Amino acid sequence: MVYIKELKIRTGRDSCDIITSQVDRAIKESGILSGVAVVESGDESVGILKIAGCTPEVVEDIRKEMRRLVPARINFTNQDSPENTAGRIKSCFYGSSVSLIVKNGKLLCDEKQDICFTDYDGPQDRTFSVCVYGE
Amino acid sequence: MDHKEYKSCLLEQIRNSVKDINQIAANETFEFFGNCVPQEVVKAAGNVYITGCGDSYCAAIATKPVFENADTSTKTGMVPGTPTMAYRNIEYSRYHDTYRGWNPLLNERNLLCAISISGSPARPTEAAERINAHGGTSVAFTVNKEGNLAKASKYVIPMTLPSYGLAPNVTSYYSSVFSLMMFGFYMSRAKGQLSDEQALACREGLLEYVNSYDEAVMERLSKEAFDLAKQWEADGVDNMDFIGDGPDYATAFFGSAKMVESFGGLTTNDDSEGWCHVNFFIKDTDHIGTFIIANEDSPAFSREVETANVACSIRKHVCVITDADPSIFPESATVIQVPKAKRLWMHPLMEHIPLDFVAGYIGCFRDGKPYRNGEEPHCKDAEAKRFRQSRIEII
Amino acid sequence: MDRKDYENSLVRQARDLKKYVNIVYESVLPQIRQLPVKEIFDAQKIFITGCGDSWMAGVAAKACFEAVTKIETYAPKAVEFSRILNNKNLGYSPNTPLVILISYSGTAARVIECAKRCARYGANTIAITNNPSSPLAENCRYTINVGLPADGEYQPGATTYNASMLTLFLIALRIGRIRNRITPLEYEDMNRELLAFVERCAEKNEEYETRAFEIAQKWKDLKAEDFIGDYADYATAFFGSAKVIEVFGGYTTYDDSEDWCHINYFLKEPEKIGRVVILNKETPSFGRVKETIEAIKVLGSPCIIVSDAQKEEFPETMEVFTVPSAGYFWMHPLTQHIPFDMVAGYIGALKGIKAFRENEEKYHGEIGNNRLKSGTQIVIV
Repeated sequence: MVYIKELKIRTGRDSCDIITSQVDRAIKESGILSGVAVVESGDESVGILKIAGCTPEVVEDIRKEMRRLVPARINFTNQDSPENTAGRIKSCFYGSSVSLIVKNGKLLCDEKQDICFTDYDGPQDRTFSVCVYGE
Repeated sequence: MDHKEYKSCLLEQIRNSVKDINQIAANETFEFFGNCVPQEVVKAAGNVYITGCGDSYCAAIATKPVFENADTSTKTGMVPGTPTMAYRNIEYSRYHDTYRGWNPLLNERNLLCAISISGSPARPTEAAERINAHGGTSVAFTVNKEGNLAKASKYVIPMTLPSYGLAPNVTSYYSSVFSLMMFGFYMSRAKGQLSDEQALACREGLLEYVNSYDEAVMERLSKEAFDLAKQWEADGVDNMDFIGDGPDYATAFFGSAKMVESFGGLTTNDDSEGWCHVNFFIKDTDHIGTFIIANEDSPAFSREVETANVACSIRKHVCVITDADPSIFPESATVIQVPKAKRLWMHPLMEHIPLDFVAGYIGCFRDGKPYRNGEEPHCKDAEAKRFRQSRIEII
Repeated sequence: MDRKDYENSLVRQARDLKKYVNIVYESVLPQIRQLPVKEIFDAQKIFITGCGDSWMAGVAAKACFEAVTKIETYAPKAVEFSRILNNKNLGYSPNTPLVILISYSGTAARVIECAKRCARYGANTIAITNNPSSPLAENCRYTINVGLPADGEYQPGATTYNASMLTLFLIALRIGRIRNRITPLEYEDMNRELLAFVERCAEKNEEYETRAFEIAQKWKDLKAEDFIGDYADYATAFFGSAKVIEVFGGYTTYDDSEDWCHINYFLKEPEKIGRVVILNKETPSFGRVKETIEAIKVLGSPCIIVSDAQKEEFPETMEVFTVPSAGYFWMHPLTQHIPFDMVAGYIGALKGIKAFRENEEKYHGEIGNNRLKSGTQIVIV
């Protein structure tokens, strides 16, 4: 069985929004007890991350390291916009989808980890999808 | 009647202008400014804004080069001074940095020169209150030490003016221009951009220029302006346009305002390029008078000469106010030659005099009341509530 | 009298506004996206200059640049820029300017002179023109070709004025986006709203035409028109004044609301002078302009008000054109000139006078025809 749900989110600048509860809700709605859930976004300059112990301090550290490793520069070859281009690179490096195990109708890693939607070029109106397949 | 026999408050002001400026200069020394505004204050000014309404705005345009170009040893003075903006009053008090947002780090270095002789219009007071609210410094140039502007400002330059009765104001203009120029020298001296000797030389050079308008020159200018006014009056000229570039635009603007105030004629003012684009096409070419202010040392002089040629090709009544050789201009133009100033920035202090004379004589010919005094419907707001009681809003 | 018998260029251009705005939008947007990021980041000051309508477009767009890019923006006239402006404004730190030069034909001597002066000092330059192989384009680092079709009707300038202004707005949006002064959401919304706003205004054309024709019949015998507007609205006021001269050669003057109370208030025979006031409810001087309108009422002058505020805010005796509100206040100048353009167009048609004195030889002799293009070009050092 396959269940796909599309969700919307309005992001902030350099935001990292926890979407674990929305993913959970989608899994419950699917009725699937065992399987795999994929969380993915087709938008550019975004990331879907799995972060353990997701406190504000951890998020801040991750944000800073991402900027340090991929800063927005004015001399990118793509001259669209520095933030947008850097965002696309981060999206590529850090990924914009994550696969999760579903057991007993909920995420296996539920209490230990959070699923986060990061926007590297916000604020914008974004969409992401949750696809649950199994039985 | 001979031109000397015409009398009015406006003509009296013009005829006494040299004497009056010398009197003002005797009061307004560097020490005087030092007593009004401490040196540390002007030294700290990173940006200067000059604003006022009507004639005061003309004075702002006229004196901007003095603040920006501290080393005035060159003809045009293109060396660093203090960045200066001459602002329309409503633009400064409601729009300056409103959309960009004020930068608190820079605000302390902003200095506003707000000019209002009477000190009563609301807008200059609003400008002073605005800059104070944002952490800057306001300096009022006013005669009225108890007026709203003086009370609202951190510092006051108390100007003194002889009084002449109700007339289009010339005294207030040249005293504002002189005071601002002196303040500009004082600021440059405080900042070390001018040495004491250089600042004194600037002041003396300015007074030398004023005194070059001696009796013989004033008599000639009066006669030439009178002849022009008489001819134009006979030819039915009622509307006028004025052309000037850079600081000479202040003279053009000022002259156009005097015509309106003196006899209510319709006037416009523009730079030489703008005139060629737009006003060139005015239809009634036989009944419009065109004044061009063209000084030889102006970087735009060549364009002004071209504009004079264009104007003469379609218009009957063109007058050029210039310090250059009259033969440069077309024969059909009336050229009124004014004394040459050592430095370009000095011109606005005196070169408006022929225009003032024209305004004065036409006012006399028409027996008109200056400012439509006592005439309907203008007398309905004789107390000028429209600008004295305007609501102050601090943005 | 049927207004269809008095068709004129300005009315036709107003009808085609939406069409040309879309053409220009599609033409310039890809070119603006090519403007290099580094040079946009370099800019500490922005200058916009031109002559006539082009200069007015710069004044109108100044508010947009300030609000969207947060960069100090100035709109000096071309002769002021090329001959008077202190040269320290023209190159490198701390001022490092971006200079935008506008000339539809690309041949105005003074604007070319400005470009040469910028080149002398290293200022970055962008030309906005309809002629990408013009002398102006050759003297600038980058050129935005406005892309108006060659066979269009553009004189007196209204479409070209809009085209220049729209291009300036889009440049401002790009700068604001790149420098993170506006968010991606705002950027998308502003782009959408620009086109939507023009569409809303175009829907009112029929209403404007009918009223403009009625007013033109009353105003054609007035001795002059006097225009009032503050800041960006000053550009609209100046533009209206220019159309009076271009269309029928009338007498006209213009000023801001404060200075008007000090000077033009004293014009004689106020009942024979038509006053045109442009004001918008979200501008900081809205209250002040309303006070000025009260002074106009005292004088008894016929008056047209162009505003997005409701008619009830103004005295009953005034002719009010209520224009649609823009989603962003700085968009207003793009369409607010249209009601008076139509009045001017109809007055010219009723008087039977040709625009730019087309059939009058004295304006189109050798000197007249060359007054803008020839002339000594001097680069002031």
